[in-house]
Amino acid sequence: MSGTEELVGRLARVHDRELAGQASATGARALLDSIVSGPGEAPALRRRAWGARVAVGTAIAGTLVAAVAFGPGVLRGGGATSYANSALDISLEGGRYVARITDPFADHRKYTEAFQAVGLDIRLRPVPVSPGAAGTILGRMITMRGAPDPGPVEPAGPRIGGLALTMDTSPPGCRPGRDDGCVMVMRIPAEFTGTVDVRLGRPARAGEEYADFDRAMAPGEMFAGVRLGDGRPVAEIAAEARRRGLTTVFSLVRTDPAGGGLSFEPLPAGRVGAGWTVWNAWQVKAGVIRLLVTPDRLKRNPFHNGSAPPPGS
Amino acid sequence: MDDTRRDRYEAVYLAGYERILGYAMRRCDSPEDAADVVAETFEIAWRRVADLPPGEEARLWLYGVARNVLANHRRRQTRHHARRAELTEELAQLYARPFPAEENLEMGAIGRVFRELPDDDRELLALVAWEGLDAGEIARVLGGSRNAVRIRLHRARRRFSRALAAAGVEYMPVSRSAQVQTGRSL
Repeated sequence: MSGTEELVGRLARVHDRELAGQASATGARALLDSIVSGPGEAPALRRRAWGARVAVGTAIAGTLVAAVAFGPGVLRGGGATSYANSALDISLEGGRYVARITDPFADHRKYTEAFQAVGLDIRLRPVPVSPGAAGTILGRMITMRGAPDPGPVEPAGPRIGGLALTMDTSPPGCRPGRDDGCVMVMRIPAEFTGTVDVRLGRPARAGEEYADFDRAMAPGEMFAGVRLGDGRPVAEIAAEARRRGLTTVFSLVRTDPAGGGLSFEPLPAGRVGAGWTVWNAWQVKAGVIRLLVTPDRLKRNPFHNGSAPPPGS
Repeated sequence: MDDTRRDRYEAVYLAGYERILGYAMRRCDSPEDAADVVAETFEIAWRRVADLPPGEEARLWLYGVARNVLANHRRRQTRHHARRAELTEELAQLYARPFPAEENLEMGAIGRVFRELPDDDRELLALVAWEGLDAGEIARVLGGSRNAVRIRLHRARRRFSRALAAAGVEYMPVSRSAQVQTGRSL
């Protein structure tokens, strides 16, 4: 599944896995009965049978909803409160589940399995990244079914029942999977009933595209030290890429004057002029850099959006 | 109706119900509409029980039926059947849950971009992302060749990526690298 579809997936009102058990709910059974009882049955008889079911159905529907609405919180009642496998271990400590992830590059099903065992919907998805970003968290998305505690959003994570949902490393600042003894620690309030989706960098395989494409100019990456904040001529930057032994590809940057949004269109190198301006560079995969260019020099770097500094500045 | 056919139908119903319910709920704005789509899909399946393909193919066949039911439903705004009241009520409770995507500004923006895509693009992306189908399976649901679906899917992804980039959408960044991956499909 591509990044595009991961986003689309997040837009779904409901996922099939959340509907588990619905086939045996009252409404579903009643529909099945009404269909297979087939034509020819006396309508009056059917209506009476149906009426009798409604009362029961309503009561059961109410119970079901509670289970769905509170999700893992309710289901957790009879489940485990700790779990361990070769990739991580989870235990309940002071009202929070504490997950210590010892192997960040394990098969992601191991994480899912462990979190599910204690009733949490937490997904860690390894995504391919440059060697420098292996073991780092690229992004996380938290969706809440219940309301978080009121108050300002805390950078560390939302609070549920007074307890924060956090992700750190131990010791702090270490790189899981790279530094010896470095463990990733997630703390999830036991009352949390939403989902957390974490994108975790794993070393890309040969030829695989990097998910951390916009870190090309970060320290240790393929274009480290290059400065493009004010725009630089294509000839100069393409020469820099050659010096670094990189293959260069190009995309034309288009700006939407109304909304200020950007769009990108791949361009064959032959159509890019030496005097065009490079505004940003993305690392595509090992050995390949993408230069984002415009034919004319713009007043300011289009990637400078007011809050983030321009790239490589 | 003999017992074998009835048993076969019940097996298909129980195996496919949650999938079709999910399909309908993700595409209908109201529990009444979703209940209609689910009920009509399975009513048609009962009338055509002799046509039901075996095994896993039955699921794809049901998606195809549900898709037609949904299209017809949108055209004629069917009145809701009173006898589906119970099912509708059950679905109303499911609809009453908070819809995570609506609680998040970024996802709201992504949702707007998605809704503005051409219908065919949206349905292709949804069949992959929501129903988890691959190009070959989509070809069996929609008709046509696997290759044609792959090409259409590629174009749909590209249009969606561009529309997102044009809308300047970012995706819950904890670092700058968490932005929507507009660069990857270029």
